[in-house]
Amino acid sequence: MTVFGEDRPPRLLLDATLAPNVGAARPAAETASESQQAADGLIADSAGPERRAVRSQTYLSLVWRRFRRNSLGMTGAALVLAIAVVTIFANFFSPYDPIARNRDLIYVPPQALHFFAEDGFHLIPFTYPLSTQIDDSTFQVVIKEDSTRKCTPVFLGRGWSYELFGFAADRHLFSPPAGCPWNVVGTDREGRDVLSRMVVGSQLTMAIAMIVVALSVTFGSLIGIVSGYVGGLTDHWIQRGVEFALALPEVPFYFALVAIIPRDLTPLEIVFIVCAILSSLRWAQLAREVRGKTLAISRLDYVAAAEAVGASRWRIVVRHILPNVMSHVVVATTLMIPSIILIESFLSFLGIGVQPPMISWGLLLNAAQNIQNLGSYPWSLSPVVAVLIAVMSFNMLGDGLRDAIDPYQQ
Amino acid sequence: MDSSPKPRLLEVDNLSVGFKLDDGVVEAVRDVSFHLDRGEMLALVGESGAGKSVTARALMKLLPHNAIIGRQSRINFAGRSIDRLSDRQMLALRGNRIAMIFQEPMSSLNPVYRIKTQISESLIRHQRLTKRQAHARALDLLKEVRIPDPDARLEQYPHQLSGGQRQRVMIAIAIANNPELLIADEPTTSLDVTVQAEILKLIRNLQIAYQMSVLLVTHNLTVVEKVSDRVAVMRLGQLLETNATASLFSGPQHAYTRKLLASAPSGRPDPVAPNSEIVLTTDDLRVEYRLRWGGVFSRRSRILVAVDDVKLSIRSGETLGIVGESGSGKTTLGKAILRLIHSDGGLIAWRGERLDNKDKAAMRPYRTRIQVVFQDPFSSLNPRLSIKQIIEEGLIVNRIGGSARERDKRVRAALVDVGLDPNTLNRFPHEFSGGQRQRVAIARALVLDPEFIMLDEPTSALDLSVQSQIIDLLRDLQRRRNLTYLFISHDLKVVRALCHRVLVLHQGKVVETGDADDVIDRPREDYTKRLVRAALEVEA
Amino acid sequence: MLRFLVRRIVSALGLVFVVSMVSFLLIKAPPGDYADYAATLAQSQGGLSYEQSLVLKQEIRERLGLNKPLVEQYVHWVEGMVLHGDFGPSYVFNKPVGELINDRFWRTLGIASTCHVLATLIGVGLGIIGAVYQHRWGDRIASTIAFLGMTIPRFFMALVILYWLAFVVGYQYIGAIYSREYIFAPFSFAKLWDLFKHVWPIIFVAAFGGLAYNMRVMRGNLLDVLRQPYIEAARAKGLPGSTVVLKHAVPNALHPLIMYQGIAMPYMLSGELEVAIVLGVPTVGPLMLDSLYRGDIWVTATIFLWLSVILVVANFFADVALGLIDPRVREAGSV
Repeated sequence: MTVFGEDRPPRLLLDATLAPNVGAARPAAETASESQQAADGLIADSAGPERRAVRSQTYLSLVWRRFRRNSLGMTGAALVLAIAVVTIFANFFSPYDPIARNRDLIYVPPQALHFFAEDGFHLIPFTYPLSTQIDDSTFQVVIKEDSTRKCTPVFLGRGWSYELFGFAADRHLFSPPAGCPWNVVGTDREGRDVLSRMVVGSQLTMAIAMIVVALSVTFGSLIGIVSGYVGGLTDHWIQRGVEFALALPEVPFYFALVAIIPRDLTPLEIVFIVCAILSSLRWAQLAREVRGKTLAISRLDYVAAAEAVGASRWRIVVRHILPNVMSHVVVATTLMIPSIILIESFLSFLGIGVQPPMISWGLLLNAAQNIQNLGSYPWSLSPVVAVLIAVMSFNMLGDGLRDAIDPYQQ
Repeated sequence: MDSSPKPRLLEVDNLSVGFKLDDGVVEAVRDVSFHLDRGEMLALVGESGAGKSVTARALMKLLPHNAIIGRQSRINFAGRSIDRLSDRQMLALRGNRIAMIFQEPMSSLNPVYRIKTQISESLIRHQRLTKRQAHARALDLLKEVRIPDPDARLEQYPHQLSGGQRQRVMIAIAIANNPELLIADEPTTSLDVTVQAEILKLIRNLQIAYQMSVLLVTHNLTVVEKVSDRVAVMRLGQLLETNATASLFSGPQHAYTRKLLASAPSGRPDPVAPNSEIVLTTDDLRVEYRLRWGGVFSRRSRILVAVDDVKLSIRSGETLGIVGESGSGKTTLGKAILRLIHSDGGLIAWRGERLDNKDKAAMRPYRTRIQVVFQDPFSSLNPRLSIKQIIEEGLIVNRIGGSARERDKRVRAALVDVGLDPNTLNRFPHEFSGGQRQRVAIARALVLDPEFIMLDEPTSALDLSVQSQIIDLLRDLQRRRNLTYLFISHDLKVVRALCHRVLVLHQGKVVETGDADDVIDRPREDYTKRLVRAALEVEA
Repeated sequence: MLRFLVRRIVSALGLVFVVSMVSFLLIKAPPGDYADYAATLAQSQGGLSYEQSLVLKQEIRERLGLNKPLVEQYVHWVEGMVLHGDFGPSYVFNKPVGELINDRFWRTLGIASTCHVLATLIGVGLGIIGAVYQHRWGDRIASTIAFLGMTIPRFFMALVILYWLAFVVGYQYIGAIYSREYIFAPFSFAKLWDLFKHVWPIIFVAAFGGLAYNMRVMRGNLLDVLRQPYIEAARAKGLPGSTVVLKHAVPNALHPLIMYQGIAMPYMLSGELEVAIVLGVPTVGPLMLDSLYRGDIWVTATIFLWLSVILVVANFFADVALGLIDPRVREAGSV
C-alpha cells in the first residue's frame, strides 16, 4: 500500500517495478546503492544524498515534474489559465456592451470572419454587414452579405466604457467601428451581441462555481477530517448524514429547493441562494473521501510518532493529517468545478437559476429553450461552446493533477 | 560435475532482462547463467534490488508487458528451449510442468472463490478432469500439504485461513499437476518463524516425494544455509557466485558474498553496570480488545486478550528483548507501555512513578524521557515535512531550545549522532533510503535526549547489510548515552546481538524470561525450544 | 446473512423517514396552504366575498387539520399516504397528486432503469477494455468516449438531437410518449417499438453520460486488481489471459463498482429528468418543472419524496447485491 502522497524515486529498478511486489517496502534503487556501498566497504548512509545528483525536492516540485510530462494535463492547465484571464478581464475582451440593445440588429445570425478581401490579407478579421430579405418566390428568409462595406474592428481600440478594478476604462481587444456590425456569434432577441454576453457571462458562471466549490470543499473536508480522526459515535452519525446527502437525487432536490424560494428576491439574492442550493449536496462526496483518507493516515506510524513526542490532537490534525489530505482535496476541487458549471447551466437554462439582468452562460442558453427559437435561430446554442471549453479544461487539469499526485492511482 | 547424458532440468545462459520505462530502458538482470539438476534445490540469494524475483519470473515468462529479454538469453527446460516461446505456448508449461508460489500468501489467493474452486481450476485446466474428480483430487492435495481439517478448508474462503494455511493451499495448487520445477519466490518471508520452518520442511518433503527441483528465491541466509543444496548469489542484476551451500558458507569466493555473510547479526551488547537501578516495570499489565460482530438483533462479542498479565522490569543501560511471533502481543505490549494505547489493568511504572493512570496531558513530561522508533521507515516519516521539521517537532512541542537557532543546533547534533550528514536537514524523506530513514527516525527520538527508547522491529524491513549497520549504531548509542532499550523483534539473531535479557511472549502471556544467552542457547519451555529451533535451525 | 439484511433494512427505513420529513418541510415552507388556495379559488370563481372566504378558510383548516401542531400534521400526512394513498392535492390541476404522478412515475422509472442498465453494461465493458489495453488504442478510444460523455452537458446533447430531429429529419415522434393510435392500445411488441421510437433520445443521452463514470470507475478498479498478487498467481497456473481477466480480475473489481451504484443511480435519474424536460416527453421531469413554475407545491414535494424513496430502495438492493458477491461483507455484517 502506498501512503498517499508518498513517492518512490523516479528511477525504479528491478523488483519494485514488478507489480506484485508493490507490497514489499523497499525502493530497490536506494537499497541497491546501499548494498553497493556496503560491498565497497564504505559507511553507506553518512553522506548518502550528497553523492547522488538529485537536488533537494519538495513534494510540490516532485508533483510539478510529474505533471509536466502529462500533455493532457498541461493543455488543461493552459486552457484554465486562459479562461481565468478572460474571466477577470471580461470587459476588455468583449467587443460590445453586453446590455446595450439595438433594435436594428435583432436576431442577426453569426457573421463570417474574413481575412482576405480584394485588396489582400488583413491581419484583423473583418465582417460584412448582413441584410435579411424575403425571397419573393419561396418566402424564405435569405441572408445576404453586403460586400461593399468592410467592418474592421480596431485592435486595442476604444469602445464602450467599463470599470476595471475601480478605474474607468474603455479599451477593448477588438473594438468594432460604430454603425458597422461585428457580431461574430450573432445577436439575440434584443439585438445584444452574443459573443460579448458570453465573455461577460463567464464572470458570474465562474463566480458561482468558485463560491459553491469553496463552500462544499471547506465544509466537506472539515466534516471528513473530524469524522475520520475523532471516530466513535460522532463519526457514526456524521456518516449517516453523509449517506443521506448522497442518496438524494440531485435535480429533483434542487427543483424542490427552488420551489420554496420566495418570488420577490433581487437577482443578486437569488444568485446567492442558488449557490447555497448547489452546495447543499456536494459536500457529502468529498466528506466521505476525506474521511477515508483521514482514517488511513491516522493509522500510519508517523501519526503515532507525533503522539509519542507529545503533540496535541490539534497539532496532529493540522501538521500531519491535513497536508497529506490536501492533495486529494485539490484534485477533487478541480474536478468538482465542471459539474457545478453544468448544473448551473441547466438550472439557468430552465429559467430557475440565474435571473436577468444578470448574465451567466446558462441564462444565455435560456433563449434556446423555446423550440421555435431554436429552429429559427440555432446560434442561440453557441454559449454551450463556452461551457464545453470550461468543462473540458477543468476535467483535463483535474485528471492530470490526480495522476501527478498519486501515480499508482490510475 | 555431471557426466550423465540426461539433459539438466534447467539451463539458463546469459539471461538479461530490461524494462522499458518512459525515459529509456532499465536493466534489471544482466548475463545471468546457472543450472538446476533434477531433484535439487538451488537458492537464489541477494538483497533487495538484486534481480532475483525478475530472474525467477523470467523463467516462466511472467514478466509485465514492458519487459524485454535480451537477445543472447537462452533458457533450456528439460532439453527444450523455452526462451522464444510465445505466451500462448507457455500456458501449457505454467502450472503444469513449472509451478510457482509467491511471497504473499495473504493476497495470492483470489478472495472471492472458495479454496476447492481455486485448486480444481488448475487440475481441470491441465489434466482435463471433471469437476467432481478435481474436487476429490483437491482434497487429496490438501491432505498432502498437511493442512488441518482439509474437508472444511475446501469449502472455505481465503480470508478464513491463516497465513500459513494459505501458503499450504498455494503449495497444493502448485504441486497439483506434478511439476518438474517449483519456483518459490520468498515463500516464507511473510510468515512466522515456526510456520516458516514447517513450510520449508513441507517443501523439502514434497521435493523428495515428487522428485521435483526447487528454485528458492530468498534473502534469508539462515534458511539458505539449512535448507538448500546449492546457492547462487546475485547483486544488482548480476550473478556473482554459485557453489554448493556448505562450500559457499565455509569459503565464500566473491568479496560481496563475504560482506554479505559478515552482515549476519553478530556481536554482543556491552555488559550492564552491576549496580544500575530498575527504571521501568510493569506488573500484571493487561490489554484487551473487544470484538463485536453481528447485527442489531443478535450481537455477539468476545474479548480478545492481547496482553495477558505481563510482568517485566528493565534496568538502566540494559536492553530487554521482547520476542514473539505475530499475534503474540509484543507490539501491543510496547504501545501500552508507551501509553500510545490504553491498558485495561495492571501497573506501569517509570522510576517508581505510575504511568498507567496518567492521561495525555499528564504524560507529556514523560515523553522526553521515553521515546519510540517504529518498524516501517516509510510510514514513520511524514512525507510532507523536511527531515529538520520531523526531528524538531519534539523540541517544539516540549518547548526545548528557546530559539530556532538553538533547535537547529540540536537537530544537527542528532543527525551527526546517527551518522547522517547534518547538511541534509532540509531534504525530504523520499530522498533517503530505507536505512537512512530509519536513522532519521532514531534521530527524532534522540533529539529529546531520552533515557529510554522502545524499538519496535526497527530492522525488520531492512536489508541484511543495512540491518547490521543499524545494530552497530544502536549499540554505539547505548554505550555513549547510557540508553535503556526495549527491543521488540521476531528475529532471534538480532535479539542476541543487541539484548541483555529476553522475554518470550506467546499469545499475550510471558512464556519464559532470562538472560539472552540462556534463553536462546538453553531454552527451558517447549514453546521457546520450538521457536529457537525454527529460527536458528529452520527445523519445525 | 440475515443479520446483514436486517441491518440494511433498518438503515434504509431510517433514510426514508428523514426524506419524508424533508419533503414535509418542503410542503410547509412556502407561505400559504390549501385553505388559502381554496379560498382564492372560491373568491375568483365562486363569487365569494372576502369575509366569506375567511370563514371558508377557517372551516377548511379545521376540517383538514391544518391548524394543528406540525408534528401532528406530519403524522396525519404519513398516515394518509401509507394507508389511503392520499398524497395531497394539486393546486393547478385540481386533482389528487397521486393520480397525476402515477403513470408518469412508472414511465420515468422504466426509462431510467433501462438507461442505468445500459450505462452499466456498456460502461463496464469499456472499462475492461480500457484497463486491459491500458495506454494502447483500445484504452484511448474508450477513454475518449468516456471523456466526451462526462463533458458534454446532457441537456445540450438533447437540444442538438431535438434540433436535428425536428428541423433536419422532420421526425414525428417528438414530445409525446406514444403515438395517437397506441395510447390506449393493449400491450404488444408494436406498442413497445412505438414507445422506443419516442424515447430513444432520452435513453441514448442519459446512458451516454452514465457510462462515462462507470467506465472510469471500472477501469480504475480493474487496474488496481490487476496489480494484485493473486492475478499473478492465476497467470502462473497457466490460465489464458482472458480467463485471468474475466474470471479472476473482474469479479474483484465489481465490488467497488456496486458500491458506486449508490452514486450512479441518482445521476441516471437526474439525467432522465434533464433530457425528458428538454424533449418534452411526458414523464416526471416536465411535470416537476411545471409544478415548480406554478407553485404547485404538493406535486413538487411528492415527486421529490417518491424519487428519493425509490433511490433508497435501489441502494438497499445494491447493498444486498454486494453482500451476495463478496463473502467478506456477509460475514462482517456490514460494508
